[in-house]
Amino acid sequence: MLEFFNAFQVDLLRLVFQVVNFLVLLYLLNRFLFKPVLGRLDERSTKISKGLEDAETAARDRELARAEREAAVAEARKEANEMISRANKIATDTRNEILTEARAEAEKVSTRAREEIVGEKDKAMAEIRGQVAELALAAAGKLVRREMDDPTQRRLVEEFLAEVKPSTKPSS
Amino acid sequence: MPEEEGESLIHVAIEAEPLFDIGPLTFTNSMVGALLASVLLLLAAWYITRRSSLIPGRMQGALEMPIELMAGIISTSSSRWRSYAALILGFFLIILTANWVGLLPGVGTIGITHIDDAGHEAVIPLIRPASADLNFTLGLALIAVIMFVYWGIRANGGWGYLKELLGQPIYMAPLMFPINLISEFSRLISLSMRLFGNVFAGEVLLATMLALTTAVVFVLPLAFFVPAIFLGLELLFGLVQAMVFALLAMTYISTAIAEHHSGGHDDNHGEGDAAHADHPTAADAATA
Repeated sequence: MLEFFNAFQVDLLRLVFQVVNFLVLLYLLNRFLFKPVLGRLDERSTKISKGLEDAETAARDRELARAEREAAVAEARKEANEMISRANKIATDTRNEILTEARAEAEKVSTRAREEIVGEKDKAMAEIRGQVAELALAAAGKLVRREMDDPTQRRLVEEFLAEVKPSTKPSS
Repeated sequence: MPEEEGESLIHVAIEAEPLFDIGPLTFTNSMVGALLASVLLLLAAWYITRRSSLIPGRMQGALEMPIELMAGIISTSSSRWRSYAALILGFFLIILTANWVGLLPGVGTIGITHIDDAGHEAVIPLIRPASADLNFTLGLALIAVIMFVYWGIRANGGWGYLKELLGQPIYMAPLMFPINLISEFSRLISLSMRLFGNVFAGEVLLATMLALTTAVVFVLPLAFFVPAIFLGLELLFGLVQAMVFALLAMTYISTAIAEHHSGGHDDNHGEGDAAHADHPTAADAATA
C-alpha cells in the first residue's frame, strides 16, 4: 500500500497542501461566487417566469380588449342600421300617408264637383221641365184656342211630361 | 536517431516534480498548477461579481454558464441540493480549471533545467496540471468521501449508517460488512485514480503526439496540426472528467442522504465505478 503511494509520490504534506488549497478556494468561491450567482440565477428565473406570466396576461387582456372593441363596433353598426331602417320606414309611412290623404282629398273634390254637376243638371232639368210645361200649355192653349190655366189641366200636362220623361232620357 | 533523445522527448514524469522546499514542505510543480487554477478561478469570480447585472453580458454569461449548467444538474439530484451544491460546484470548477491549465501553452514545456545524479539533463516543468498529480486527486476524493460519509451519518444517524454498512439481513453482516466497507473505500480509489489516470494519460498523449511529429524534419509540418487535434480532444476530456468527478460525488452524497428511502443498492455504484478503467462518458456518470 505504502509502495503504491510512494510510486505516485503521495506525500502527506503535499496532500494536505492540496486539500487546504481546495478548501480555501471553496470557501472563497462559495462566499463570493456561488452564493451571488445562484441567488442571481434564482432571481433571474423568477423574473423570467414572472415576465412570461405578465406577457401572457397582457396577451389575454389585449385579446379581451379586441373582443370588446369588436363587440362595440358591431353594436354601433347594428344601431346605425336600425336607425337607418327606422328612418326609411318613417319616410315611407309619411309618403304613404301624404299620398292617401292627397288621394282622399282629390276624391272628395271630384265627388263634390260631380254632385254639384248633378245638382246643376237636376236644377236645369227642373227649370227646363217647367218651361216646357209652360210652353206646352201655351202651345196647347193656342192649339185649342182656349185658356188652359185651371189646375186640372195643368196637372194633366205635368202627368204627361212625367210619362214622357223616361223616353226622353235615353235620347238626352 | 539515438534512443536517448527519443526518450527525453517523451519524458512525462508520473509524479509531480519538486521545485523547491519551504521548510518541511516540498513545493512541486503540480502545486503551482493548483495555485494557478485557484487564482484563475478567483479572478473569474471577481470578474463575474464585480459588475454583475441581472441581464448578463456575453462575458458574464459565458463565465456563469458552467455554474448554471452544473447547478441545473445538481438541483435535480435531491431536495436538499442547496446544502452540498457549493462543494460539487467547487469540485467541478477546480478540476475543470486544473485540467485546462494543462492545455495552456508553456505549461509542461517551460521549466528549470535539472541535471540528475546520472548526469541526464531534463527540464522540470514549472507548472503541471494539478489533476495529473495523485496528491491533488486523492485530496479531492478524500474530501468527497468524508463528505458523503458525513451526510450519510447526518441523514441516518451514526447507528443508521452503521446498519447500512452491515447490510439488510443481519446474519449476512459478516459477509456484507467487509464488502460495503470496501465499496465505500473503493470510491476513494476510483474517484482519485480515474481523474489522475485520465489527465496524466492526456498529458502523455499530448507529449507523445508532439514528440512523434517533431521527431523527424520530414513530418514537422504535422506538428502544427496533429497536437492541435489532441488538444481539442483533451479540452473535451478535461470537461468530461470534471463533470464525472463532480457528478459522482453528487450522486454519492445524494444517495447517502436518501439512503433510508432506497437503501441497499448503492454498493453497486462503488463496484461499477471501480470497473471504469478509462474515460467514462457523462452518460455513465448520469447512470451511476
